[in-house]
Amino acid sequence: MSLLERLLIRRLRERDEVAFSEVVRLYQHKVYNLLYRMIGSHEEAEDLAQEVFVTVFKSIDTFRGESKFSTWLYRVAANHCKNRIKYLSRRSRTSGDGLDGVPEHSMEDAGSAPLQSHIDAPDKILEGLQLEKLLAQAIASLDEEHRLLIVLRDVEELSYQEIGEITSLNEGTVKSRLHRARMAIKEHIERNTK
Amino acid sequence: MTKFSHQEAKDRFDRYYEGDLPAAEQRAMDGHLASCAECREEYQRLVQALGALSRLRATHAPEGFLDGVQGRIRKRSRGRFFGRRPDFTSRLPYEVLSVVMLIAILAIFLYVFLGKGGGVIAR
Ligand SMILES: [Zn+2]
Repeated sequence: MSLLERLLIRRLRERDEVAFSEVVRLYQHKVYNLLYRMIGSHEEAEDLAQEVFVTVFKSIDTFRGESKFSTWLYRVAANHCKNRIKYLSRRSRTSGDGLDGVPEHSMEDAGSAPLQSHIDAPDKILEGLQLEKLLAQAIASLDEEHRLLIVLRDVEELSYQEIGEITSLNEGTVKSRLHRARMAIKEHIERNTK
Repeated sequence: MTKFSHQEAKDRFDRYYEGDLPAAEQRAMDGHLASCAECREEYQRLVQALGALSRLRATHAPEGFLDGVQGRIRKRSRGRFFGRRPDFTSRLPYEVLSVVMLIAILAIFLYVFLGKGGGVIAR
C-alpha cells in the first residue's frame, strides 16, 4: 500500500467524512462500471454501487491492508454483485423481468439463445452502440463466475494477480475459466453476426 | 519442432493473444496459424472480440452518486456514523442537558443570592 493509501485508510477508520467523500470520488466510476457491465442495468448498478460503498465504510476496520485498497474494494463489489445476480435471476424466473433488454442465460443455454440481434456487417465488424449491445448480450450469456472474470480481465484490464486476490482463485483456474468464457463470447458474436 | 493440431491451437488462442505461452509453443502457434486458414480466421474473430471488450465505453456513475451514498449512511446510522460532523439529532441530548444545567445553576444562584438578599432586607 502506498503512503497516501495508508493515510486515507487511517482517516476512514476515524470516520472522517472528508476521507469518505474522497474515496467515493476516486472509485465511484470504477465500481459503477464493473457493476453495470456485470448486471446490465443502470438502475441496479447505481443501487448496488451505493450499497458497496456503505459496506466499505461499515467494514473498513476489517481491511487489514494485505492487498491494495482497490483490490479489497473490488472484492466487496464482486461479492455484492454475485448475490444480486442470484437474487435477480430468481426474481426474473418468477416474474419474467429482463434487465435493460439484455436476456439472462446461463453459459450452458447460450447455445439456444434467441438470435434477436443479427447484424449484417461481417467485415466492418460492428460499430458503436450495436457492438456494445451485442457484447453486453454476450457477457450476460455467461454465468456470474465467468462474467466476473471477463469484466475484470478484458474490460477493466486488471492483472492476473489482482484477479486472483479478488476472486480467491489461483492463476491457473482464472486462466482456464477465462479461456472458456472468451470462447463463449466469440461464439456468441459469431452466431449473431451473419 | 512442436506441431499443433487444430484443437491444440484453438486451446491456446487466448494465451497466444496475451503472449503468455512458452517460446516453443509460441513458435508452434505462429507456424500453425501461418499454414491453417481456418484457425487463422477463428483467431482473428477472437482478437476482434477481445479488442471490442477492451474498448467498451466506460460508464460513469450518475450525478449525485456521492450524495446518495452519504444519504444512506446518515439514514441508517441515524446521523451517528461520521465522527467529525455529527448531525443535529445526535447532538440534541447534550444540548438539552447543557441548557438544563445552566438553568439549574441560575436557579441555585438566584436562590442563594435572593435568599440572602431577602434575609438582609427582612433584617
Ligand atoms: Zn488449424
